[in-house]
Amino acid sequence: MLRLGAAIATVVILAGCSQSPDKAAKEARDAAGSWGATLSAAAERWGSGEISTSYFQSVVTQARTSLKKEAQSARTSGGDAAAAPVEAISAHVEAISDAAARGDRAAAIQAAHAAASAVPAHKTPPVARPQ
Amino acid sequence: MKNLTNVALGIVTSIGGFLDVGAIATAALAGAAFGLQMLWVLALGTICVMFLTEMAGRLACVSHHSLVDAVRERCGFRYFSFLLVGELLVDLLVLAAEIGGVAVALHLVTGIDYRWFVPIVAFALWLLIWLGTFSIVQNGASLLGLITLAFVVGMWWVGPSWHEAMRGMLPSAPSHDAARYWFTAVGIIGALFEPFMLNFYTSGAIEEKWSLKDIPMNRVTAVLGMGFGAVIAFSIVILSALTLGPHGIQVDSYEQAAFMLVEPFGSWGIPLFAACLGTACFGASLQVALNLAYLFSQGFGWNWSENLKPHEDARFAITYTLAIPLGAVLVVMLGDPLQITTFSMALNALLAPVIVFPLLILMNDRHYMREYRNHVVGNVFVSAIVVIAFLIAAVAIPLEVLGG
Repeated sequence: MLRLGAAIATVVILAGCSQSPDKAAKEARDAAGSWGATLSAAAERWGSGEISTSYFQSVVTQARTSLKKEAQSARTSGGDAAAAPVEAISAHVEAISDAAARGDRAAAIQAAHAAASAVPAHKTPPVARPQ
Repeated sequence: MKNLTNVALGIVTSIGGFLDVGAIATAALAGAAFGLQMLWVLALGTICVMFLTEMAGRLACVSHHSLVDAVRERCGFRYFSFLLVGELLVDLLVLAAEIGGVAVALHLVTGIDYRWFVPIVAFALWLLIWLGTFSIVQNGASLLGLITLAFVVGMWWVGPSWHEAMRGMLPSAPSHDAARYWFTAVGIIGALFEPFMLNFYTSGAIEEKWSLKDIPMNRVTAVLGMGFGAVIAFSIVILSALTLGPHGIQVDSYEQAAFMLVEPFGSWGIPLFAACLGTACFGASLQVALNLAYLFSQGFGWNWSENLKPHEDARFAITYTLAIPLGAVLVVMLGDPLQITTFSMALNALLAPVIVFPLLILMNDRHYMREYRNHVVGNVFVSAIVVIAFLIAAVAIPLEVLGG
């Protein structure tokens, strides 16, 4: 019984450890797409005055930190190709950050839209709403 | 009239006390990643937690024992030691997640790094427990937690299709990313029946001197309170599914989750989300810190009561005085409060059988429960859910953690 438990545990752990390059690339693409969509939504909300400048800057900072971690992790598991989508979004984050620092809302929205279209996000099907 | 007031207070405090960092985070994650597909997990978990809460309260009313106290007496010190180590580890992680949740809430409204707020939150927490009484801690924090009803208002405002929401109540296989789906499922279950909650509930019942006449009130609190509390968690899933997922926004940080209230409330959305997160987590961190003190004091036979002065139950006071800074250090050391939260919630599901099965044994023990023992339906239903959650957690946690 103990041996069987140990064998199952080993299989589960090995299965979990062996993250394939494809899986790493998919995870990196998903994270990049999600952050691109977040930045786009945040920039639009900032543009319309629904969120404060400090909050928008927090989102941009968080995006930068998360994308950096994601790029490192993707590069380790799947090489440069896996990290490419993350790098594509990261390139736009600096432009968004600069625009936020200048208070240039139009430029921030433009850069955020560019980030979102660089790596399309995986979207869940829209939930129906009553008319 | 007094009974009615007690019932109302019980329900109100349950609504406030139901939500914590785990419920908010796992519901937001589920809605953003899988739409309404995981509502059934929440529904199943809610029914289970209603059973568990009712049982725990009944145990306290009939036997006048808290759960830990009764487990140590019935199952022996060796089993208690096992429970103590498991619950200590998980409770410290949950405490770190709750303190982190309050700090993040302050970060969301100020823009200052959340780590600066961690010691301030920890000190405020300790001071309130040190100076307060049980009713202040329990009712005060829970009443403040009523602000989380903003999620229900927001959900109503954005208006989901109820037909589609009802379809989400039917169990379904994941449409994509099965490992993440099941990990999120155990997180939801873990957030619903956190082991600390059961012992805290029974300890509270002893603090408030519940007796046989409180059994009906306990039943009403368990069913209506947990039911209304679950409505808030449902609202978060629905809000997240309506406002985040369709735009491709996943919840990898609280900054992303906060957007769910921007659509219904506009510029008030982020401050409201921060207020909901902050008050819910502060209330829950009070409960977890106190539960750690209850756990040690009841297990080792020390004096314990939040209603006593700290010098009258010094070891009880020392336990929470040590636990709170430890939780604060953990949140700073481990970083990313959202990840600590999702991981600790999944661990809750793993630990659940260790505390739930002794509870079931006690609930069927003639010596403790006399004619108030469990019915077979409750035994079977709770056992099945806990075993299934444990098995899924045992597979999903290594896959999710080691698979990155």
